[in-house]
Order: sequence, then structure tokens, then C-alpha cells
Amino acid sequence: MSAALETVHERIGKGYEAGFVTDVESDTLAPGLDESVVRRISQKKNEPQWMLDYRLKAFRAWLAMTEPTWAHVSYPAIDFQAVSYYSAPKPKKKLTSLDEVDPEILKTYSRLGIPLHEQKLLQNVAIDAVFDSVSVVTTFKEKLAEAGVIFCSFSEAVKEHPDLVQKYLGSVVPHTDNYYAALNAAVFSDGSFVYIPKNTRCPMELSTYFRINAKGTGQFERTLIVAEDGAYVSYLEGCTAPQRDENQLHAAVVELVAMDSAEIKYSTVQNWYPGDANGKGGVYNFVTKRGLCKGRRSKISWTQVETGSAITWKYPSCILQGDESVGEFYSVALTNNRQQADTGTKMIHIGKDTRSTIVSKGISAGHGRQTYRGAVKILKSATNARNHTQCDSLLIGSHAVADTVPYIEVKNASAVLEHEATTSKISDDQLFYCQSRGLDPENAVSLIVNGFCREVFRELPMEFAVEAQKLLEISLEGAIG
Amino acid sequence: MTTTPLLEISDLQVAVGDQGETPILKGLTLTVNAGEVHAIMGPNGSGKSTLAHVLAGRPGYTVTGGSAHFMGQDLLAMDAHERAHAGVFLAFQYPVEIPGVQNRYFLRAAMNAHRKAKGLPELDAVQFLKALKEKTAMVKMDPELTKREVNHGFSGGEKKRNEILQMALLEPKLALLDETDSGLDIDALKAVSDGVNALRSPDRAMVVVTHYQRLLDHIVPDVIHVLMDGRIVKTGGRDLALVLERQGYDFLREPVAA
Amino acid sequence: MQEPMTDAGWGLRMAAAARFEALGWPTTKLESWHWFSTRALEDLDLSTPPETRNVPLPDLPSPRVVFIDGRFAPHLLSLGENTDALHVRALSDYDDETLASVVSRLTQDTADGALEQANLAFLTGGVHIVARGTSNPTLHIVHLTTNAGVVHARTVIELERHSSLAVMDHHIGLAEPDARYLHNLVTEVHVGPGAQLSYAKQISESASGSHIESLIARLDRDSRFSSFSLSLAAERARTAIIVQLAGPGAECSVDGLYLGEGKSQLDHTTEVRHLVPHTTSSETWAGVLDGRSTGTFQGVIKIAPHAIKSATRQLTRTLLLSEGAQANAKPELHIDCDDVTATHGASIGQLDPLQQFYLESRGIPRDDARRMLVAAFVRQVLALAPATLMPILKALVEARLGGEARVEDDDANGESP
Repeated sequence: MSAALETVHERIGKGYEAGFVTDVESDTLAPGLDESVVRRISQKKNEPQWMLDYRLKAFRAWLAMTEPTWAHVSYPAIDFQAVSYYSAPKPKKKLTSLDEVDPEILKTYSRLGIPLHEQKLLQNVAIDAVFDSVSVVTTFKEKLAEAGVIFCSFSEAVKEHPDLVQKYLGSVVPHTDNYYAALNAAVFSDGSFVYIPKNTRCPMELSTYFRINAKGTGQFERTLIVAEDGAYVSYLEGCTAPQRDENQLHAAVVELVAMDSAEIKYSTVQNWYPGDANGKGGVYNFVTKRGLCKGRRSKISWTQVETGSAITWKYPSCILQGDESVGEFYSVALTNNRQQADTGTKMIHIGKDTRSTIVSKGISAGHGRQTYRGAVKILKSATNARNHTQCDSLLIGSHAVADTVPYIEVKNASAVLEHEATTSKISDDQLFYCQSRGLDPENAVSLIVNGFCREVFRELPMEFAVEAQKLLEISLEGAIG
Repeated sequence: MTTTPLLEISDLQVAVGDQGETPILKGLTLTVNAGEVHAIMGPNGSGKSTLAHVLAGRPGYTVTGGSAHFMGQDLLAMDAHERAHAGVFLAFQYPVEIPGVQNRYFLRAAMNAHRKAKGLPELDAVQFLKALKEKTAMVKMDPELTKREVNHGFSGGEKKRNEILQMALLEPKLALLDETDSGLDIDALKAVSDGVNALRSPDRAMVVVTHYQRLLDHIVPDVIHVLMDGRIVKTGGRDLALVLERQGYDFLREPVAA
Repeated sequence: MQEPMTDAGWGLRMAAAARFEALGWPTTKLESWHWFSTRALEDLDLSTPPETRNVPLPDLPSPRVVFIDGRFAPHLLSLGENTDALHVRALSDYDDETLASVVSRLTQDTADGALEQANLAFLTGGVHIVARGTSNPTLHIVHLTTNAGVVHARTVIELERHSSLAVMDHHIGLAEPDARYLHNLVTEVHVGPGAQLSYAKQISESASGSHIESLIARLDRDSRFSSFSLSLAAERARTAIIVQLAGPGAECSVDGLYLGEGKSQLDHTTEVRHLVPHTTSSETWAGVLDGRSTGTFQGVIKIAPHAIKSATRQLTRTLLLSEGAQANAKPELHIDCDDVTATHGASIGQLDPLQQFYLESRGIPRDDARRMLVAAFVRQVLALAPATLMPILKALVEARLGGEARVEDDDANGESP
């Protein structure tokens, strides 16, 4: 290894910035999961009968399923009975403005740099903050209400818009879909609900932050976004988790539905606690995210920047059902220390003249292991389908590992698909060239990595792009070790 | 004495798009006789290239009305290769690259396909090479280019020259030259024009599609038509080109006094 | 094998039979068999080779060793001037002790390779080739199948230090169109230090013939292995090729072309393992699928943790010519080392309509134009075949593509370009 790289390697561990705990009274259920727990969750949330019925149906289905083990990740078995399934801080009343939020919680978010502050309101982002399973506050409701946009917590939607929730819940990810989806459908606590009416462009970017706080709690978020004909919405999801010794479980479900000519842009910047340098104490992240391009000319884009989580298992997918629908997936994933990620996307082409684009950039450092697992399926009905896939891996350090496993299945002969993948490393020559132009090693690496990720960062909403770049830099400083 | 026009287009309407939803030609009428050289000029989007493509039978266009007859036959009812056999030749604006197919092999296949359609015996190796040598010299093309893959790795000028070589070998009755000058410097332009001029004959007609007047200094037309918004709005002699050069196309947009 | 067996022989075969029994036929639940089902073959009696029919033989190249329905045909053997440089023996010539020392040094006991165990258990016949010198003629191994049944054939090729050899393996079906047979082949290749092997194979089975094979090669330092696989006909064929780059400086090129028609299923599954530093691999595959055929390409590249300066590239292109054709592809990379270069690409599509129109606009009728474009597509991968074997491969492809398609450039006056 060159001297330049060695210098870089020496600068280890800025440490996980967001690692701390908040002292707030939590209303936490004892660990364990059985039917009574499911009932209690529903009861605590004052849910109508149909919601409880749905949960119970899902729970019973979950009992009959077995945990999947095929991913290239290895982890000690999760004891589902040792996890608590509900934790809410105890607010006394329903909150409608920031002034009413428990200052401790505000401080937590402030330390995280998460914009639950007046400042942010000026920047036109509506926040629905989730704090350990319950939406803490939702701002900007009036402005959205004017446009006819519904943006509220899932719990609220169940009460205020039951017809909409019932119509779409489980329509994209049925509770029978997979093990974690079933679990989520049974014990989900909260999340976001977004509804954009016909021909409405949501006037602001919608954003949710959530955080797993209490020890041993799994977090089970449920998000549902529906865009009617001609609607547009850009939704941002960002997450952090504190430093804990035990691994924490996260099994979320996100469902997106786009009707004729509607567009949903879903961006995620994820900064879960990655486990310490020895892989102890991170977050298990099992997520099912799926978008249904139901209408003609509909479009769903997934953009994500992942830098954390001890184990990641997620495949944001698009089902291209409507004719001329478009699915996109842009991702930067960084694994470091002993993180493992088995991630990728699925594009299923069903309608005619559909198009999908996949750009996946993986940066693997330390002893990180990354697997890109993508599937592109062109069904028999999908005439004139088009796909372009680019998956690139950047390896930093001699212990990093990257796997690329794409599945391509074409059952309609008019399809055209192009797939490319490259694997490379930052070479001594590249570093030297940058330094000879005056950049220090850290900046040089930053520059090169940013160039590597450029295509993906370009897709992020402005709000997130800057944050994502900074996040990557911070993670990289620790990563080059 | 009247002879059947070589090409007779009547109120031709053509659209593009999957369902033919975007009209490009909105009623074009044109007659071309053997021995004539017609130029078609017009601003971008006027439909110049569309006309050439539709006459040659390129996929992607829908004829929504009107007709086109070539030597009395319904041209639009014929397949692309049948039109070629009948004597129509399109010199592409962007000649297509076909990696993996040797240029001279392609040229020989094309010539023999034409001969077969006419009931003539195919050329043997010796005959073909002789013809190739003769025509390559005629259009002043580097013979080495015939050994390379079709248009692959050719410069812009070489690609255009290759089109003219094909024209020389296939001896069409109607040559449609689609923006033959685009992308060429003055020397290449002159060389290509010389090749075209060498192929002028009383039995042959040419339709030269161009955006710029300068090509017409080298390939001097008998008639110039101006195409705008899918129709021919003006027809004139050579001088029309100079007028357009000086005044641009806008002056033709004003309503013409009765 | 017809000879009475010694204890050693029984041991070898019984162990293999027991292993196959335990593993069973590979199912579509195994990742690498996901797109290839053996269900339709499972009723075949693995222990019964075909009963040879009297059929006219095709022209046979020379030098050659020939097997009819899996059995060595000594009367068709033609080795020319066999010198010390090339040692060719039918496996049936060996006693069992020797046999045990020659085979299965490379095969692995995995569920994926269950049929390799069956191959050893029910071995019908095979050949052992050892090359010593550098001036060896191309050796042809010809397998002819004339009837229904199951053939288990094994080829073991060893190249000693600094030797070189070209081998072409032919699998030709001469059976009736409805005669169901399975040709189960295992080829083990050892390429010694500095040695070079050019290997090509053609698969032209009968209409109801199935072909399943494993080729496993181990390359020593500074050796070269190039493999070209031409799959022209079979009801179903699966070719698995595993190359271990086990010595620094080793290079391999694993290429192939498959032409599917009717309801043919052609599956190519490769794995290249870069085990040590400074090795190079390249893969280029092209498939042309017509009728209702299905083509599958699974290419795994594995780079071990300390295999620095490995360089690998892989390209697969599939052309779908007809409405019912289907394609699957899974180009995988497993990279455990950072100081490497690895790229792969896969594309699936149709003939370019603009290229087709260009040819038609010059008077070339549609069918001929399509044939020319298919030939152009094909020749780019065919150009990678070992030079000495090129002419015979080209002839086979041209015969199959039919019409005026010419795969080779030809200067009209006969000179090569």
C-alpha cells in the first residue's frame, strides 16, 4: 500500500455521530410476540375492527412461515420473542405544532441535525417525525390540505381516511408476500400515509425521519403512498439509530401506487448505526419496498443512499403494469467494518412499452461485504420492454468484498436489455494524481468516490443530495481503515 | 409527346409515432421526370427527410393520405427491397454501420439481388471486381474502404462516398439524396458532388434534399422546391436558392399575396 | 464397461453410484440449475447404453478417436503418426487401479455435479490423452449416438509442461428423431506449467437427444486454455464449464456460440475461479434463438482474496429472432480482492431494424438481409475460436445458418483479406 493510502488509513473512526440515547419515558410493551400482543397494539392505537382483523390475519400467516435464509449474509438467529414490539414516548395530548413536542425529543432530533425546527419550515419541507414507532408531529397540514394532499401518520389515516387505507393497504405488498411483510402487517406501529389527488403536484417535498431509540425494540414502519392520475410527489425518508450493544430489528413495508401519468419519487438516506468495528450492536434492516406502476405512463423512482445498518436486506422493486410505465432505481451503498448488505432491486415488466433503469454503485471498505442482487423479469405480455442496468463496485482495502448477482429473464422476444458491471479500486496512481494537483488524501478519496456516485446523487432531491454527500464523506473517513 | 413521369406524388400525407399521431407531411404534391434534378430545401422539421424516407420505405412512418407512383406503379404498396429493384435508391443522411459484414461482400450481394430480380445471371467474382474497380475509380473512392466493414470506422466523408459508390454500382432510376452534405467539409463536399454529377443521365432523376444552399453550387438543380410545415410552398429555378440564402426561410412564412 | 471388475473397480463405481443415489438428480431449486429441468429425463435408465443401429457414418476428420454409443470403436481409430508426443488411450484399456488414478481428480462432490457421479458409476467409455511435445496435430474425439439410451462418456486430457495441443470434441446424433437419449459427458483437463490447450466442441444431437456435460479445467502457472463451444442442436443441452486458474500467469478464454431453434433448450453455465495473483480470463458468448427455443447463460467469476492483479471480462449477447424465443442471463461477479479489474456485460435484443432496412433498401430481400445480419452477429464471437479449429467451426455454422449467409469475409477473388 502506498504512503498516501496509509495516511488515509490512519485517520480511523470519526465514530458514529448519532450514537447516543434519549432519556424519555417510553411506553414499552414487554418483549415477546403472541396474539395478545397484536391485540394490545391495536388497542393502544384505538384502531377500528377491520384494522385488527387485518393484523390478526397477517399474524396467523406469519406463524406458518419460516424465516428466509438464502441471502449471502450471515447473522446470529434473531429471537423474535426477545424483542419488544411497541414503544411510544408518552405525549399527553395530540400535537399539532413543534412547540408542543417534548423538548427532549426536539433536542434529540436537533443533535442529529434533523430539521424539526422552525428553520426547516421556511425551507418548505413538511415533516412527519417518527420517534420510536409513533409519529411525533406533522407540520404543514394546512398548506397541503389546500392542495388536497393528505400527509399524515398512518395511525391517523386509519381513523380519518379508512376508505382509502382499506382500498390500498396490502395491494402492493400483500401480507403473504414474505416473512417480514407478514410480521410487519401484524405489528406495524406507525408510518406515513400520503395521498395525492388527481392532477395535483404536491407543493412541497414530504419528509419523514425515524429513529429507533428504546433498547430491544424492533421498529415496524408501514408507509403507503398513493398518487392518482396525473399526480406528482417527492418523498424523502431518512433514518438514524443510536449506539446500542444489542442488534436492533427493523422490518418496514413501503407500498407505492401510481395511477395514469402519475409519478412518485421516493428517496432514502439511511444512516443506521452500523455496528462497531467488530460488527457488534448494529441494526438489522429488513425492508420490503415495492412500487406498483398501475396506470398508463406512470413512473416510480427509488433513490437511496445507504451507509449503515449491520445487516441490510431490501429490494425496492417496481411492478410495471401500466403500458409505457417507467421504473427507476438509483443506489449508493457503502459497507464498512463488518457490515453486510444484500441489496438490489426487482423490475417486473408486465405492460407494453415499459422501461426500467437501474444504476447501482457499491462502495465496499474495511471488511464490508456487499451483494447486489437484481432481477429484471420481462413477462410474456411485456411487448417492447427496455431495460438498462449499470452496477459498479468500488473496493477500498484488501478485505472488502463485492458480489454482483443479476437475474435476467426474458419471456418476450421484443425486449431489449443492456446490463453492465465493473469492479475497480482507487488506485495509487489516481490518488497521486489528485495530490499532485494539491488535494490531500482524504479530499482525493472524496473526490473520486463522489465522481463514482455522481449518477446517483444527481437523482436525489436537492435537500438530500448535500446531506447524502456529507454522510458519505463522514462514513468514508471511518471506512478507510 | 408526354412520357410517364418517373415519380408522381399526389397530396401525400405522412405521420410519425406509434399510432401515427404526429403529422409531418400534410399534403405534398410533386412530379419528377427522368433526366431532372430537383432540390428540396426547407427549415428543420419541415419534413424533407421524411419525404425521402417514405419514398424508400423506411419503417416508422404512416401514410395517412395521398399517393406516390413510380413509373406508373404504386410505390407505397411495395416492400423496401422491391422499390430498390424497381430503381429507387436512398443515399442515407446517416449511413448505417453494419459491423461484421464486409463492404464488398455487401455490395456484391446487393448487385446480385438486383440482377436476380431482373432475371439476369449473377456476377461472378471476376465480373464483380471489375465493376467495383471501375466505379470506385469513378467516384474517386479509396479502394481499401471496400475491404472494411460496412461504414464501420468510416469518417463522415467516407460514409457519404460509400453511398455514392453504391449508387454507381446499382444504377438507380431515381436517386434520393438525403442531406448528402451534412457533416462534410468543403473538400469532401466537392468530392461527393463530383461523384453525384458523374452519375447524372437522361434516364435518371435525382431528388436532392438539403438544408443549405452551398451543395447546390456543386450539384446544380433544374428545379428547387421549398418544403415548410409539410407542404411545398414555393417552387422556382436555381435563383430561389440564392434568395433563401440571403433571406432565410421566414419570408416564405408570410401569407403570399394572391 | 464389459470387463469383469476388480475390487478397486467396484469400489470406485459403487462409491460413485452411492453418491449419486444420495444426491439425486439436480433439481431446479439449485441456483445453477434454476432454468434447466431434468424432469423429462428422470425416467431414463442410467445404466443402459444405446443399442447400436447400423447407420451410415458421416465423414470423419483425422486424427481421431471414435466412440459409438459411448463405446470405443477401435476400427475407426486413426492417429496418424502417433509419436511419444501424444499418448491416446481408451479408458477401457486401463485396469481399474490405473483408471482410479486417472479420473476424478478435478470433479467435486456437490449437488450441482450429481450427474458427474452417475457418469463414473455407469461409465460407458472414454479416452485419456496426454500431450508431451509442442507439435501435435489437432486431435478429434468423435461421439456418435445412434439410438435411445444413456451414454456416460469421460475424457481426461493432460498437458505436460510446455506442451501444446488442439482438441476438437464432436457430439453427433444419428438416432431417429423420436429416439430419446441422454449423453452425459465429463471432461477433465489438466494444463501443466507453460502448456497450451485449444479446445473446441460441437454439439449436434438428434431431435430427441439431450446433452449434459461438465468440463473442469485446472490451469497451472503460465498456461493457456481456450475453449470454444458450439451448440447447434439438441432437445436440451446443458454445458457446465469450470476453470480454475491455479498458477500465476495462467490465462483462459471461455467462449461459445449457440443457435437455438424449434423447442430447443440450450443452457451454458460457466465458472471461472481466479485463485492466485496475476491471472486473466475472458468470456464471450453469443446466442441466436429462433422458433420457441430458450437460451440460458449463467457466468460466475470468482476472485479469491489474495488473487491480486486478476483481470477478467465477460460479455454475453443474445439475439431473439422469433416471437416465441426466450432468454435468461445471470452474469455474476464474486470479488474478494480489491486490486483487480473486472467487467461484465450482457445484452439481449433483436436484429436492428435500421440495419435491416439499409440492406433491404439496397435490394436485398428480407430473409437474406436477416441472414446476413445474423451471420455478422455470429462471426464476431466465432472470430475468437482457436485458429486451427476455425475452418471446421465456420463450416458447421454456415451449414446451419443456410442460404447465402457467409460467416467469413471473402475477397471475391479468393484472397483472404
